[in-house]
Amino acid sequence: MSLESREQESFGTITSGIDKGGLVLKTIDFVHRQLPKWRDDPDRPDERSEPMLNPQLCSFLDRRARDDFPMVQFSHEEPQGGHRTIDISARAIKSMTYSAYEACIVLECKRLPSPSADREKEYVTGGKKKSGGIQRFRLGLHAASLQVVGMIGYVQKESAQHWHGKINRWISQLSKTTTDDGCTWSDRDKLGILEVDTLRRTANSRSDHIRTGKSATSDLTIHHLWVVMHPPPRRRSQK
Amino acid sequence: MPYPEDLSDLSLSFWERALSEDVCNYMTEFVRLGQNSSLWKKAQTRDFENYCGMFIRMLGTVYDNLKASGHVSISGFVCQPFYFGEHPDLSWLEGELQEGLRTLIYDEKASGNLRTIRVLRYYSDNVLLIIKPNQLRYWIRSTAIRDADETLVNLREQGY
Repeated sequence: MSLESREQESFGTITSGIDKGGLVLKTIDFVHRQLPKWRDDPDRPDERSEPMLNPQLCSFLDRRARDDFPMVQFSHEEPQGGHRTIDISARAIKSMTYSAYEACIVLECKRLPSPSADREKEYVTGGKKKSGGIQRFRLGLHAASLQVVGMIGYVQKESAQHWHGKINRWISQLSKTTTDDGCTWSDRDKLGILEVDTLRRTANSRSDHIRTGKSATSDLTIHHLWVVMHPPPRRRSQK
Repeated sequence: MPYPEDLSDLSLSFWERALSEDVCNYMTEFVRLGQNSSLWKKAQTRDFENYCGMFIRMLGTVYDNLKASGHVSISGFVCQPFYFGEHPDLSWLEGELQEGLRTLIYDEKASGNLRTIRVLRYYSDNVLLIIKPNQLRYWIRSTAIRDADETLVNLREQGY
C-alpha cells in the first residue's frame, strides 16, 4: 500500500475582477459597520477608559467576525517591537498558513478628548514620549510593514466635526513649528473630508502621510473610524 | 470530555458547524471503514454544490463578486472554476488538458511508496480554478474552508 501526502500549488495571477487591497479595505469597512452595534450592545458594560474599551471592542469584533466576516480574526495588544503593543490587530486566518502570524491591518484606539490636558494632542502626537497615534504610525513604531492602517476614535465629548476641525488645527500648528516628536508635519498630513453618519453616530475620514524612520513602506494611509460614545442630546417634546 | 448540557451553548458559527458535521458524517465512518468509506467514493453534483456554497460563503465575505461556475470532470479529476465579476469564457477547459493535469496533480516519481497529490489553484484574468482528484474527501465542506483560506493567502500575496 502506498502512502499519500497533500501539497498545494498555485500558478498565475488574477488580473481583473477585483480591486487591489480588497482584504484590508473590507476589514476596515467591517470594523466601521460594527462600531455602532458595539456601542449600543445592551450587554456592554459602560466603560470610559481606553484600557477597558479596547479589549471590549476587540472581543466584540472577533465574536461578530466568526459569522459575518469569517476569514479574519481580531486580537488585542499584539507586540510591535520593544515594549509597544498595538490596540487591535486583524489577521487572515483559519489554517496553518504564514498569514496566521502576520496582521493584515492594525488599529490604534484613542479617546477624544484625551484623558488629561498634558496628553491633549495624543491622537496626533505625544511629543518626545512618542505616544501619539498618527505619530507612532509615521515613525514606524506601529505597523512598520503595513501601508494601510486604522485609528479608532472614541468620541466622548463634543461632535465628530469638532474633533476633525481640532485635529487639523493641531496638524496645521505643528507644520509651522519645529517639533521634538521625530516627525516633520505639513498640511498634507491633515485628515481628509469627514463623512458623518448622523443616524448611526459614526464618522470616518482618511489621511495620507510620508513615513519617517525604519519602515518597510514610505507611504502610509490611515483610515480614521470614529464612534460617538456619549448619548445623543434629548429632543424637546413638542406640545 | 466535558460538554454543555444545552448544545446551543456552544454557539457554533456556520463554518464550525460544518467542520463538526463533517467529522460526524464522514470521519467516524472513515475510522470504521477506511478506504471503503464514502470519502473515497466519487463526489456527486450535490457535493460540489455544497463545496462551492461554503467556499463562496467564506471567501465571498472579502471578495463579494465571487461566483462559481459548473465543475468540469477530466478523467479522474475535477476542475472547479470560480470567477470574480463578469462570467468568463471557460471553453478552453474542454481542451486537451488531461495528461498535463495528471502529471501536475500526481507526483509518483519521488518515491515508489509515496504518492504526492497536489491541489492546484490556477489564476488567470478573473478566474480561479481549483483542480483536485474527484473523490469526495477532496470536496467536502471542511476542504472548502481550507481552500478558501489558502486562496486568501494567494490573493493577499498578489496584492488583493
